[in-house]
Amino acid sequence: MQFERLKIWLMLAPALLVLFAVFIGGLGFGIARSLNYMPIIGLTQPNFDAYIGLFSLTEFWRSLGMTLYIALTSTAISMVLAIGAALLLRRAFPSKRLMTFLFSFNLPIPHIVGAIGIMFLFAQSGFMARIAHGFGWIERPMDFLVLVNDPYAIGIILEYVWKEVPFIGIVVLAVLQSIGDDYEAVSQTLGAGPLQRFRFVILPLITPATLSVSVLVLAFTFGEFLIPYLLGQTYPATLPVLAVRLFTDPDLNKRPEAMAMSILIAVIAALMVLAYMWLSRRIVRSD
Amino acid sequence: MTTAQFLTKPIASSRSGLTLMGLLRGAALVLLALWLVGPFIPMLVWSFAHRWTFPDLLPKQWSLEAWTYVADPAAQVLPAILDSLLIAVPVTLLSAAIAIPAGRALGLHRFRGKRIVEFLILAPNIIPGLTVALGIQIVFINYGLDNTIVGVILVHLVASMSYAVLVMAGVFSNYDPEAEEVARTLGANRFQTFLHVTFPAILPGLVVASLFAFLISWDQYVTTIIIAGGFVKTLSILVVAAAGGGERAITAALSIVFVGPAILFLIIASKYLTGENSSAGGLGRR
Amino acid sequence: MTEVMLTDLTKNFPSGARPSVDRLNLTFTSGKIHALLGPSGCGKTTTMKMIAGILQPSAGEITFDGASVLRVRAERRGAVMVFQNHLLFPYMSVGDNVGFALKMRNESRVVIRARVEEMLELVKLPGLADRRPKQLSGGQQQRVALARALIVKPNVLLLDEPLSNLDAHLREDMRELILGIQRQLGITTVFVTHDQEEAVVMADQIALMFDGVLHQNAAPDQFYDCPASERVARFFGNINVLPGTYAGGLFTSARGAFHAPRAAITEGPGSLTIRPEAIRLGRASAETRAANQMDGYVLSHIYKGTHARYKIAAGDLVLEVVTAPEATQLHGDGDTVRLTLPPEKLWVMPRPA
Repeated sequence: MQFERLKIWLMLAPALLVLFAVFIGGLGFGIARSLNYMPIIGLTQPNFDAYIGLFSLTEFWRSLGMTLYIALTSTAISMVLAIGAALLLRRAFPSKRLMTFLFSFNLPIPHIVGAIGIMFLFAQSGFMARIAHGFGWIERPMDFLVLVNDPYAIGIILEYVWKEVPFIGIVVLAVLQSIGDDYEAVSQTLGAGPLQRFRFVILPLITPATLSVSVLVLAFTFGEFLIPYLLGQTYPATLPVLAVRLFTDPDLNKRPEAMAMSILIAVIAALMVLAYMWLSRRIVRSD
Repeated sequence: MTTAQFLTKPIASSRSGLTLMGLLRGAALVLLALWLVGPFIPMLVWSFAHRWTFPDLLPKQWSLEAWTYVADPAAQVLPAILDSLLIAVPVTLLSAAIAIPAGRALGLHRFRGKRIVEFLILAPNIIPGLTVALGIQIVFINYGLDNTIVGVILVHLVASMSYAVLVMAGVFSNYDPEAEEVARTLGANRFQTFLHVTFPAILPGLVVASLFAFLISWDQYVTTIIIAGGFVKTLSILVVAAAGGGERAITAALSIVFVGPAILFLIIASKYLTGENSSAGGLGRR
Repeated sequence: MTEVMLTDLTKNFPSGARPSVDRLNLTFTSGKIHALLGPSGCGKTTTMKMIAGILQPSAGEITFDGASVLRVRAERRGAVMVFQNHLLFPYMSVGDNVGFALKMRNESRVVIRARVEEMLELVKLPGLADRRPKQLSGGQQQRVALARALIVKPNVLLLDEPLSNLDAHLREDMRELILGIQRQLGITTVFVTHDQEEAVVMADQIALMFDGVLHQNAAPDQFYDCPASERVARFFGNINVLPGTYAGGLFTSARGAFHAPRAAITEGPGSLTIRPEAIRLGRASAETRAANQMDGYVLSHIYKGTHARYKIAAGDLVLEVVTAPEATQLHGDGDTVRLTLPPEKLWVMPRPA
């Protein structure tokens, strides 16, 4: 018995080694540095200066707002569209295979490529602008809507929606397929019309899985650096972009603030997931 | 016609083929398909464009310049691919080596502390790699691991490995170890048992887990920049630099090269995951 | 009280080579229990779904009390279906499940609560409204599904294999509950089953289908006394079938001639059948065989307490005979025996050439 337990921990040892050495270690040193605590270079008095400094910065709050806005908006839009797309694909008779392929085709495509594609499509001299010109709607590129590096982060949201709709959708599709048609059939013979079937049968059945995967998307879009870096505007930048900017600042005194900001990003992302887990468990229990 | 009517199954609808609802559904499907492939269309065109000025819908002059540049050994592209591979391949092998025993422990056994381990393994999927890289970079400086490929491998390994472990835990939770016992009673030693019984059974899952691990490392940008910015130049760094630089034709060609492993992934994964399962193969790639 | 009539009802699926249901003509009389019986894949569930309105027929007509319902959507048809695996909505309480149909009609909460409690009493589960479906046993879940279907006083109650997911000891209870409620409410009821015993015990009328085609539609005893074909007889467990020809009340076969006044044909090739318990088993004797007798030997026998079951070989035929249990003291395996087949118990079926 004792031996068996030892064996299990030995099997886990390499994974745990990496997790503790790099992941936990990275977080730990990040936290220490953000508290100005680094005995190696003689900093032995931890303090909250970096955090206080951040909190007194208007740019930090504007960035936080921007990051939350992007994460919440793109997750919400992706979720709604993913449900719609999954419902559509479930019954798409002639082209179901093709669509399912396109859906899963999108999944392994790197975000970088998605961002570049969005740029090519939606920049003011991009493909969409050219089509708009073809219809005679605009004269010059400047007449086209500003959709990339714009103040409302539309380019960023478009990229996230492009990538996350298939991600969430494939989960919804799998749930829909495992549910089958019978729940709907039963509710239909009980007098439920199309709207009622959606509202009282399909939606409650797919909600748990949809929310769990969407909350992962939420945490991801909150902590992602590259997409806002490529498609966002300079001010206010999102928190991850700001953190990297502070980190690469020639002024090394900004490093603790960069650390503090990255720790805050991690904490908020983790809190989103934890809050969801806590809420969903409470709802299950109160049932 | 309500949206829900349009979205839910048209039960007992008219017998004739074409209905308004059918047309709407078809239109929505076409829109969805266009939206999914949309970003790739100008990308493909750009990679073969010589000059493509506004407002032309297609370039007036085509050329292979961008592709010649990409294939030129003197340019930075091939070394960048090499760097990417030098990182992603070891990350993949290490991830697989770590994920087989760890996945087995999590998928087949119950033990005290299991929930904590699961939580730890899930955590890198929630905590941004940016935070981890910024923190560990401080330590790497002290050990001379900053600005090295080894340092980059270690950081990439966190995300790749944790994902591979999750996949393998799922694989092993559907695996019946009794076949191994049968093999042992039939005279196979531990190694033979693994080679002839365990390995074939977990192979499809292992392939998928490894592909994931590879792609996760291949796509990394910000972690690489933080650990070894300026020293290690992976393809993703090159692509992002090109995107920022505004050379659209080259950016497009680089993007297409960069997508290569993902396409390969789809082809291989579709062989190992048939039918509806293939959708599960994409799970976790946000 | 609704009479359901199917006329030339046909269903083709795009994937299937032959129709899943082929020109089915059936009437489900008002207020009775009907069984749609057949092996899996015979089209019985497809038929039921077409009646419910979940599937649209490829051809044919369905009427409720003479009026076509083909253009009536399932949600307005009043043909309520109870599925084999209960399909209670897992995210709702038992009470909300039962009250679902009333909620869809926007009834007031007070009305719903009262009716739900009434229904739960009807299925003998009073006071369970606040439970979750998961907290109930399989039998209870099935009863909740029944209550959920009955709350709207449906025109037609459709049950898909209502007993097959239940343990043997629960089946009896459920069967009595369904029968009791059906008699009390008088709802035209159609249930689908692959189990002929279940059909016989529950139904007033059985429609037996093979490969999408109706083979016999009759009262349960008819399937034993006058099966429509050899296939029907065999489906009901009767292996006593002799091929031969029929003419003038006399059936001639390789095993002799038999007086058989009861027949579905007047003359020509036919199959003779008889229920195992109608055959009289006697000692072999030197006397010449009389009419309606044949000789054979005991292949095997089983003592079953209340009766005994013999397998008798007669030429290339094997017949089954059910006798009183005492017979086992007279006839053992390998003994030669003489079988008497009383003319009034014989039945001649058509035999496809």
